[in-house]
Amino acid sequence: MARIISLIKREFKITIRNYYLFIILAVALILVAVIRFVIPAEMNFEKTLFLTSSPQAEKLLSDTNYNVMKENGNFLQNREDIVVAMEDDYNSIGLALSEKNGEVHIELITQGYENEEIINLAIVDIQYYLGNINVSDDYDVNVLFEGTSLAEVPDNLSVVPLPIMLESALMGLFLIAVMLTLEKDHKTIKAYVTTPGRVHEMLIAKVITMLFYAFISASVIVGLTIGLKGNWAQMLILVGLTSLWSSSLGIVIANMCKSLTSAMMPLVIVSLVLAAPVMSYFAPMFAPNYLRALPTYSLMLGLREALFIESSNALFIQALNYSLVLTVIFMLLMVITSKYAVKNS
Amino acid sequence: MIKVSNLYHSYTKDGNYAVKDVSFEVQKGEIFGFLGPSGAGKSTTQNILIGLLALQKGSILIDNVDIAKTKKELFNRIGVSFEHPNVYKKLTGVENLQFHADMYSVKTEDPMKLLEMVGLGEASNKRAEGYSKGMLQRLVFARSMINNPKIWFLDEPTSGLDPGTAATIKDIIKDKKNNGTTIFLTTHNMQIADELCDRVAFINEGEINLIDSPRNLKLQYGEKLIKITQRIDEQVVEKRFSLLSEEEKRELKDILDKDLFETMHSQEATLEEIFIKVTGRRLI
Repeated sequence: MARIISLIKREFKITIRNYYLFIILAVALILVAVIRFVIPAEMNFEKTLFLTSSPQAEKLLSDTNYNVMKENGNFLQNREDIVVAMEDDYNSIGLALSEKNGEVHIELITQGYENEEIINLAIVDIQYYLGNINVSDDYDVNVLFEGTSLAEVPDNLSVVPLPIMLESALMGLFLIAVMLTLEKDHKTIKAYVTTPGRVHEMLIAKVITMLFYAFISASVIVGLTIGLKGNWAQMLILVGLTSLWSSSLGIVIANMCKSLTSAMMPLVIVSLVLAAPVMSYFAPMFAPNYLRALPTYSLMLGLREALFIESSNALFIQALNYSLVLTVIFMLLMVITSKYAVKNS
Repeated sequence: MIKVSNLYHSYTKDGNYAVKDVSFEVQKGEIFGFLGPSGAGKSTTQNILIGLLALQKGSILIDNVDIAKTKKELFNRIGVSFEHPNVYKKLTGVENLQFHADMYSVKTEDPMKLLEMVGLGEASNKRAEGYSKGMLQRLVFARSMINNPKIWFLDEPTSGLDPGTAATIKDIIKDKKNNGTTIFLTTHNMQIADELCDRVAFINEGEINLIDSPRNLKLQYGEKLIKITQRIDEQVVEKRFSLLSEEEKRELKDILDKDLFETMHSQEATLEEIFIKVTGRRLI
């Protein structure tokens, strides 16, 4: 234990003197400034409308602009067709009109990420086309994909999970790989392994250092944007686990590479892959399965839920499970590949 | 203290050996020189001894511990001074030594005492990135003494040092030997080996060609020579005469009788010349 504490002390001295901490804090503060002052609080998206109507509803709508709506929208035969079409097009909304007690009944089908303003706008739009006919008051809003709602979250604050993901996952992955490959380049790892110190103790010290930096940066970002609102415990748990698996992954990459130069290409590729779900997070209309399957997508949704949505924790649990599995896998791989850390030096 | 038997090592694991059937023993308190040119197998052997390379074939006992079954605790008794200045450049001299000291579970030396021994006392609180090459070499050397090792591996310990500092380092090595430390010295510097080593091993192309004391080697392989300089037509000419050749002895006597020389020195074969004679290779 004393050895690990000494190793951690060394990591802090080296990373602080290499300005890693300042880089992390500077990036965090820049991202905070972007969230607060650059990204607008509201953003609008053009959406595709899929609609269907029963013959009875169409009779009630014969004197309205519904035909115009039908021509402009994508008319489908039934509700099931709408669901299928919406699953393929994440930037779409569905409308099913039927007859109920002599009135037109509206069912709005949403993807799940739409906020209340988008839903209200859609309803106003529908009412404009339907004109002065009798519309049932109890219109339904059905969500296609539960748990991806942005409801109540201002657009600028919904960005917060991104910098947390960038700093806890991507920067940790990159920094730890750089730290380890530099040890190889400078051959300090050779000097270390001729002491009673174990390689895995050195790697654990590096992972703990990165964990600390991840907590610091996440706390700065969340503290200066959202404040003490949201579920900090859940947020820190996700940040901690993400830091653990990402830094373990960084070590696995560094273990398999002989030098910093040879580690650069795999690091850049892995970072780009892990950063790709950002597109789906900000433009949910583009969220193919291969992007949603990446852990960083799940992490950002989990963080958003932890920070903004008190009523649910489904996405947090999903992200937690995913991160736990990855942590176990990458930590095992880190231990297995650690012998290469010396061999490749 | 160190017993190596029938050591083989292949990087390609295909029978193409970098080290072939190497066997030797080093006694307690002995300085054992492991000499050879680059690529001869010196580093491979030393790296297996200090655990940087896996033991593939053969056996190694260090302080009666089989390194194939070794526990990390064996390293409490071992010190390694690398030729490459592999220190943490962002840490100061004293921080480097203190960090290393923390890795051992035995009583360690005072970092400041060691830094002062190698002439780095004043630079102890300066970051290693500001050290010259010679200072870094001394820092690595000082670091290898932090656990007061019983077995000390030194790789080119005076490389890159000025003569004064090199003399200090050699004195420390002699001092440690006198205190019972067993020293395994890897070098291609035959003068250092000649001065420090009790016995030397010549390794070439992965095989040990011979093991003996420098004195015995000189007696066995050396040739007693006299070197004179003459001035002929305003040119200084150097000539060597072997005392083993009757003809050369007569020629030398003639020059001496006629006082036809400016300087005269006796000369014995160097370890380097013996190495070339034995292995057919130069120490590059």
